[in-house]
This record gives sequence, structure tokens and C-alpha cells, in this order.
Amino acid sequence: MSHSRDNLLYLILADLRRNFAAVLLSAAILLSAFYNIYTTHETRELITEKEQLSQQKDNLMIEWRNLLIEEHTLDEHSRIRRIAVKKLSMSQPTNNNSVLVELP
Amino acid sequence: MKIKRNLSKPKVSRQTKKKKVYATFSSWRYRLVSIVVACIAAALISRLAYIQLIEPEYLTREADKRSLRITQSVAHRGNIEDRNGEELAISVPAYAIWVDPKTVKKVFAFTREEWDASIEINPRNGSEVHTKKYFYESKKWPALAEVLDIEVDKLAEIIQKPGSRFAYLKRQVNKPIVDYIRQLKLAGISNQLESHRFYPTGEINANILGLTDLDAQGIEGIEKSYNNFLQGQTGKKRVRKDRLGNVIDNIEVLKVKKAAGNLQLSIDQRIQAVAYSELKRAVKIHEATSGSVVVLDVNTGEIYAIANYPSFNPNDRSQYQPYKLRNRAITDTFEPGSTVKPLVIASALVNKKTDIDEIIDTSPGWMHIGGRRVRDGRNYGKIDLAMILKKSSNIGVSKLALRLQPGQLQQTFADFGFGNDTGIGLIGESVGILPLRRRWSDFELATMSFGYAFTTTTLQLAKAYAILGGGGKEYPLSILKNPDPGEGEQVIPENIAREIVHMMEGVSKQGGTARKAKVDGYRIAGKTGTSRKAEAGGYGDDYVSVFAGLAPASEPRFAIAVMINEPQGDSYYAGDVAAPVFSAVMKSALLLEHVRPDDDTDQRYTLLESNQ
Repeated sequence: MSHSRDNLLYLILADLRRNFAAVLLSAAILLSAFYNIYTTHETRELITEKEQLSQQKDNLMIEWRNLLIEEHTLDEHSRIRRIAVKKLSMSQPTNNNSVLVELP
Repeated sequence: MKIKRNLSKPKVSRQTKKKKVYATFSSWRYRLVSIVVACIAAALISRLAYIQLIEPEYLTREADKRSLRITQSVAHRGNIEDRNGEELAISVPAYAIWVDPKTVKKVFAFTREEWDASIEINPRNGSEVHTKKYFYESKKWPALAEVLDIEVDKLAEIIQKPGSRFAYLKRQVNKPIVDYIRQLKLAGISNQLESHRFYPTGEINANILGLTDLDAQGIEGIEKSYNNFLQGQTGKKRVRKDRLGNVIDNIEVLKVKKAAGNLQLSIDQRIQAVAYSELKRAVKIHEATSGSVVVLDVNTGEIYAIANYPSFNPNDRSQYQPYKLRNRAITDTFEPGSTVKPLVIASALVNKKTDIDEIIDTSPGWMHIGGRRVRDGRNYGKIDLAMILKKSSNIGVSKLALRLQPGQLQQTFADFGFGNDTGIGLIGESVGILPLRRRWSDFELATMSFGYAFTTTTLQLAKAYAILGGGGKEYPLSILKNPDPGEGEQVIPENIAREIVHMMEGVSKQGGTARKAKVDGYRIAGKTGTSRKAEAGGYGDDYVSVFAGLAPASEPRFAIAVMINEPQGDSYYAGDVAAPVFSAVMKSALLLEHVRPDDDTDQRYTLLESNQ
């Protein structure tokens, strides 16, 4: 009786070898399924990152606009003129002390 | 421990191997197991099929409910820039604070009775607990009221309004305040993103740019005229979010985000600032009611500056008064007075009723036309055309006008753009009145020749001079930067336009009407105009002081028209009131645009010529 009682492991391996194509295909399916999960996860992470970056961009844009306002409040022409004339005692050059350069 | 177990295991298995031998094959047991396994499999598969195929919507819907969200992406209104890219109007995010009174009422009690009614007794230990908080005892509400600058009672009144689910508490609030309010964690208080319009140049450009309302819609000026262009469209997207609120999938775009366009104007802020401050000073010194200045580029029709006084600060809405908002240079009309005399001479030359060397006898300094009297300041005697302009002789131009058919003079005025729109396309532009009739009395014709009986805006006057300065070519005016103006339309012959400009040079010279219009280093050409203001039943005691001119006279680049309305005091003549403004604005315009000085008599500067 002992000869009919083959080792189960050998039996299974033999079986698997007989249906080698099916085994290969199911392994491929499993692999692609896992890969699918992996790529979905990657995609989601990238989307999240993109979303965060565009949020960051929006925030920077807002900051930029606020800085623009500050800049233009400070560099307003009449203010510069006032500071130049009153604080720095500057004046517009007269003809006597200006040099006219002709460009070709 | 582990090692021991490993050692003991093989022993056990060896023993069992010896004992147990599969002697029999029990078929019923095999069947039972097979059936049970098959049943379980069938149950699982059918459940799977039910979920996946027959009724997948239910679970999909439930999942969507928990993960699908709609996100908004706010598009701010476009900026307005001057010709050098300086921002004149900027939109920044602001927040509106609003309240849902129903939610507040659920948590807060407003009266003692209501508060007492909310007492619940804890069944376990019998202690009394208020389920609502008493509104006036909370310290958070006064804090909110203070930061929003509202009275607490007013706040309570807004919240207690029956049946209300939405009320703005304050709009255009900035970020730090919003963060503070968020920290208060008050029930029913929320914020909403909106846009705040800021004008860095303040009152200098207020009349041109106009205003937007709280919903970021233009209501005046350029903001209104170009509202569609400046306005963006807020985008809406359906997205899937994970547990942490991160977006993990973009499902669909519900509304495409449209970025707003930035508008670039032809205004040069440097010149504009000078124009405004000079105008403001002149209006204040002469106690005038209002004034306007327009600076045009004669070669392109671009508006470099357009300043008005009174103006207002557009960033402070409490100052808002409609009369200050008006862009007077395009809305207000006046009789241009003597400033049209060069055009009358142009008309006479075009229609060949005179030639440039003609000498006209203006003595004795007055004349009767159709029973009415026309007179000059004094008797100028026999003078040529240039002298007529220099002295602003009414008799001289009247004599020329009387040689013309009324239609011919009107046609010339119409060619110079009077009675017609200037092409800037701004809301509220007035075209003035140029009466078109067949029959004119001689006196009416004469009055027209020195600028009465028809009206014009400051912008139209500047345009007429720009046509003279541009060699008789008319360009449609533009408030937008326009690098390619196209071919202008020749409305009067070029040589006549050049002659007239040359004749107008006398105005700032010795004996001219506006010596204060002089600009150092440059030859200027211009004409003063001081006209009485019409009232009901005749002309009153108020004046309009006008100066229009061109520089450099040898090859004009800029046309400037200055109008001061109702100057008070001793000096109301245009040569004293409007001409200094012209001079100051023209000087900075020419210097800033690097126009070469053309006054050869003034050789005080050092010239470095290029070797070419």
C-alpha cells in the first residue's frame, strides 16, 4: 500500500507542472492585480501632491498680490517725489547741469 | 524555548505517523464536506454577484456619500496695469463672515426664561444642567462683535431674527481676523472667500478706473466698461477625498475655471501722477470748482494721462460721493472759447479763403455783425494770422469765419472730432453739442469762430490738437496700450496742420497770451481760452479757463488740454490759471519720454552726439 501513497507534495508539484500554463497565467493575474493596486496608490499620492502644490501656488499668488500692493503703496510716484524733494533735497536737473546723449 | 519545541516536534509526528493510517475511505464524509464547501462557495459567489452585478448602486452611493466632494477654485478679478506694467488695481482675497441664526439659537439662549427652560435634570445624580448657554454670559460674542466692529446688541438682533438661515455680519474681512474668529469656535459662524479690490494709486486714477461693488462687479469707469474682460470664472470640480481630506481623484470638472485677463492701459502713471498733483494745486490756488487734464500721444492716439479734480480715495468707501467719481474729462462739456481759433484758421486755409501770408486789418478793435458787437481786448491794427493767434483776436477770426460758408466751418470742426465720440469706448462719454443747421446768422458764425455756441469735452479738445500736431492725421483715441495704431485718417492737409502749429508758437513768447506755458528747452505751440459760462438766460460771471497745446513744436509728440472750471479771484485768465499746469505736465511728459529738446536758442545743455 505504501507505494500507492505518494508524497502529496510531489503530487501537487506534478499537477502544477501538468497545468503549467494555467499556473503561469494565474500568477500573472495576481501580479498584475497587485501592480494595479500599487499604481492606483501611486496615482492617488501624485494627485494629492499635485493638489497640494496647486494650493501652495494659490497661496503664493495671494502673497504675491499682497506684496504687490505693499510695493505700489510704497513706490507711488507722488510719494517718491515728495520724499525726493523734501527729505533728500533733490530737484529736477536743469538744462545747465544736464548732458544730452544722442543714441545712434 | 523555541529550540526545545523544534526538537520535540518531530518526535510527536513520528509517533502519529506510525499509529494513524488511512485505511478506509468514508464516502459519506467526503460528500458531506463537499456539499458544505460547495454551499459556502455558492453562498459567497451569489453574495458577490448580488453586490457586484444586481445591486451595485447602493454601496457605490454610500461610498460616494462619504468620499465625493465638490471643490471650488476662485478666479480673482484681473489686475489693471499702466503702460509700464505698474499695477493700478489689484484683487486680493478677502472673506465674508456670515451667520446661520438657526444653528446659533440651538446652542444659545437669549432670554433668562429660555435659558431656564433648557435645564435638564441628570437622572443619575439629579444635578441640573443647562443644555443651552446664555448668550449674554458668553465672552466669545463680545469678542466677535469687537473684532467685526459691530455692537453686541446689533449682533443679537441679527441672530434673533425669526426664520433666518443666513445673514452677512461683515464683508471684505482680512485673513488674520478670520483666523481669530475660527479660534473662537462659535456655532453658526462661517466665512466665505471673496475678493477685495485695492487701488494702490488711490485718488490719482479713481475717476478713470472707477469702482467695483462688493460682489466684484465693475460699477464705474474702466472697471465697468471692461467688466467682462476683467472678470474671471470660478471653477468647480468634483473630487474624491480620502479620510484625511486629501484629494485622491479628480472625477469631473463642473465649471471650467477661467483665469481673468489683466488689462494694460495706455496711461503712464508717472505722467498721470504729475498731471493730477499739478491740477489739484491749480484748482486749489484758484479756488476753482473742478478741473481736468488730458495728455495724448499725437502719433498713436494713446491717452498718457487723464486726471480730474475733485477725486476721491477708492479704497475708502465712506468717502464715496457720486459727483467726485465722475470722469470729468469725458463727461463734462464746456464752450471751448478761443482754443478753437487755430481750427478756424485751418478751415479758412483748407477752403482757400486766405493764405498764410495774409495781413488782416483788425482796427479799430471792434466791429458790428448783424447788429451785435464783437471786440478785441484792444486795437491790434493790421496783423498776420500768427499774430491773430498770439493776441487771440476775435475780430481777426470773425473776419475769416465770415468768408466761410457756415457748413464749411462746421465741417472742419466735425473733422477735428467735435460733436463725435473719440473712440475710447468708456461708459459715460459725452460727445458735446455741435449744432448742425442750415441757416446761421453772421453773428452766430462769428461767435462759433471764437468758441461759443457749441460744447466739447476736455478729451475732444485734446484730440483736436493732437490732429493738428500729428500732421492732420486723426487716430482713434485709446485708453488701452496700443502698439500698432494703424494708419491714421488724414482729415486736413499735412502742410496746413504744420503751418498752424508753427503759428501757435507765439502764445508763450513775449506779448503772447500765455507766457507761463513755456517749457524750458522746448518750443511749444498752444492756445489759451477763457470763456464765460452760460447760465439760464445768458452768460454769467463764472469762467472756464482752458489751455490746449503741443510740444515739441518742431515735431509734436504730446497734445495736452487743461480745463479749469470756475476759477475765482483776480486771475481767471487761462494764461495764468491753465497754462502753468500745461507747462508742468508737458515738461515732465517730455523728460520722461526722452523727447529731444528742439529749442535751438536754448543751448545751455551739453550735447553728446552720436557718430553717425
